[in-house]
Amino acid sequence: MPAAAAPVSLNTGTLTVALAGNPNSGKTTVFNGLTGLRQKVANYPGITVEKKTGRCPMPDGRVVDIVDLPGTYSLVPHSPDEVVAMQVLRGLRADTPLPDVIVAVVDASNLARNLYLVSQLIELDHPMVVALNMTDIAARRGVAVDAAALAARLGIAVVPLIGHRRRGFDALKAAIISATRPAAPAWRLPDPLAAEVAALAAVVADAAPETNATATALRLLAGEDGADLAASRGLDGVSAALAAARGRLAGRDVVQTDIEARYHWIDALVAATVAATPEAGRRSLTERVDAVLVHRVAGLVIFTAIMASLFVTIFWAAKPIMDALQDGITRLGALLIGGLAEGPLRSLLADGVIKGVGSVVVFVPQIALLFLFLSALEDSGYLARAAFLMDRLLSKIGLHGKSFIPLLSSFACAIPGILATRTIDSRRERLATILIAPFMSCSARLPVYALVIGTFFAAQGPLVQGGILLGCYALGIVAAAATAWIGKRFLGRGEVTPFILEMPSYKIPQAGEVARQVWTNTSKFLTKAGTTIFCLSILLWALAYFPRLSDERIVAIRQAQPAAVVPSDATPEQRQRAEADAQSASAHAIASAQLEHSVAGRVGHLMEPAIAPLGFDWKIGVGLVGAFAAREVFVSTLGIVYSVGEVEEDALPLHEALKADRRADGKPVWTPVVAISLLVWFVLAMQCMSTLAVVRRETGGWGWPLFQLVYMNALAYAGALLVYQIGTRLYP
Amino acid sequence: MSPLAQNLLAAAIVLFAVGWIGLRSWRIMRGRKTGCGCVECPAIKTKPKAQGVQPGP
Repeated sequence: MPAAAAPVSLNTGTLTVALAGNPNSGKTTVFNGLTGLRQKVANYPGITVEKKTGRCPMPDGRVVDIVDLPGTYSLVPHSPDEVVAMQVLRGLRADTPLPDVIVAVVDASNLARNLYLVSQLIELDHPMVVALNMTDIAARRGVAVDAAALAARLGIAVVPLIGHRRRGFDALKAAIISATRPAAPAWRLPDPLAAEVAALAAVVADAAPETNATATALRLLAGEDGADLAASRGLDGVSAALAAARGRLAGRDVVQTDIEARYHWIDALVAATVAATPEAGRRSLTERVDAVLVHRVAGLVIFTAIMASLFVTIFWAAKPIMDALQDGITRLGALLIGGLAEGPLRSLLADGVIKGVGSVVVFVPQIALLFLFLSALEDSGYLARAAFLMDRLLSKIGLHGKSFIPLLSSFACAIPGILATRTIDSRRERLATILIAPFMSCSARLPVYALVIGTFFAAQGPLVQGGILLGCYALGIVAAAATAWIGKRFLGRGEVTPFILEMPSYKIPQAGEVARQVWTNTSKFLTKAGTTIFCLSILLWALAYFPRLSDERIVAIRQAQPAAVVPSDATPEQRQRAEADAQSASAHAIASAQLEHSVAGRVGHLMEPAIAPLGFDWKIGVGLVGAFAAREVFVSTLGIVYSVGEVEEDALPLHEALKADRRADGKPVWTPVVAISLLVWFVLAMQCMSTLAVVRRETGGWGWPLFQLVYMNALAYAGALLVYQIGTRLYP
Repeated sequence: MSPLAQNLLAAAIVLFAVGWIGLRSWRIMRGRKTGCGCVECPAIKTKPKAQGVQPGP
């Protein structure tokens, strides 16, 4: 039994507390509970890929910095996110002070596996607390952990927690204040190795008395890498002693021996502190449900059915809310420009702001519904099963099972998805995942999909609309899979690393957490609409409004219009209507000529020959250019272009204007084939400057993002071309 | 509102928008912002925040 250590004084300077633990042990939930922040948590591993810092008030009034670290199974890192955790805990990062206290967040329902990392944290010899999280799930599984007995054996405080219910945090804060250094490691290495470690430790201790000599010696013998070890190797006599020790240990696997010794200690610890309750023998609900949901055939069928019903519901449930929102925006617009005379400011507000931003904002209900479903699935633990199902398929195309979570995140936005690839150990697999992540249909594409599908397939009903939307998402996945497969053929697979994924328990999604995710993502969309899309809409309005036609040109257009034809026996009302029609036709011709005369009109006409084979006219071309700033801008650009090029009194809602648009020969600009061609373009094209900037940062240069830009857009062009050319031949 | 005032106001708004887009693009390219619109951007190193802090004694 270790002697109780004295509490470490936490009275001076700014204090740093690091939260360390296995993936999905609930570190971020504990972080949020301590700091009051709202970092994203999810019921699957690998959400935190970068350290996060927040502040926590202590019961005695002091405030400490809490650092939430990415999950790791050991302090020997394999992936970039694990490197971050290791560096912070060993004090190797210039931007983070060495933690004053380490809180080891441990999943009580999987104690043995979690204690391996604890055994390594003990060797750091810092004041430490064990947060025994998820004790409620452990109880349901029939596992009762004796926290007091565990604390006595480790020589540090062990605090039972139910993180998601915010239970146990006062005790945890009190334990942090009075944190103690753990007892000396109690596991025993086999004799030959123990002797070599002791001998090398003596040399290290002589050269650097301030280091944990035994732990350093063991790490040196195990061949670990690290800046701190490089310094140790350079100490007087250490290199020679290390070489000699290795020579004597030749043929012995030091790493394996060390792991086995730690697990012997862990087994004894678990035997002494964990008791099985009557629930332990029962087959849990999670196990029974998993028998169906992760079945290799039934699992995939259920997954497809869940996603299909999600997309159908998006169209079916959102429509009434969208209609009401559209009405509200129209009324707001009328109110805003009511007192303004004809002129540029009136046009800017009516055509640029209301039609531009309004046409994007109207899709908020669909965005909110998408995230409502995804958050509920995520919080329930189902998405981890989806990752398990996908591992088999992913491995066939040269990707790692760990690629699933980044790809899944990319359905919301490619940027966090690309950042989440930091959990992937292999550089090739990480690069492949980064390159294909933008094929996943992000939420920025949803307004485009919804506008096109909702306008041209409205008559077919929500089932067909949902099917087409599912098809868009599926096409992105197929394109990503094909790209990864081609990459595997040309670049090779590289080192194959095993995929370890903990299956979280199923739970009823927490309404608060789901609501927060929906709000976070919806407000993100609204923020983007109020900033980026707002400013881009104004810029696009200016490009579609200027330069103005000269007075002479306007007069010429007016004169070129046929005069009103009024029969001699017409009634005054008929005469009046005919003159009004003629005036309207004249105004329409002027507005149309004005748009073609503008910068946007000229650019659109310039690029029209290149996009005509895809079925796109110059107005769609202007939209495509705008979409390179942000995909949603395509919708706002169409809103502006169709509004500026129309007489205000005759302006139709965007979906009506699209259906009414005609080419010079009188044929409709938009047909179902054009709509599908455009959808294919948007699924496959790389049109996001922000994503390219993040890919540049993650790959360390412009080479890969430029390749991605060219490859994806060439693929999009070829795909849209095929669809239009074949489609128009089949359905002329 | 007079036509001149309308022109001036519209020009000011357009200039503001162009400046904002330019600044945002510059920050995205410099890696100081992702441009994805996240409130708590996961790509940017977070600093200690004041939320949840209570005044000490």
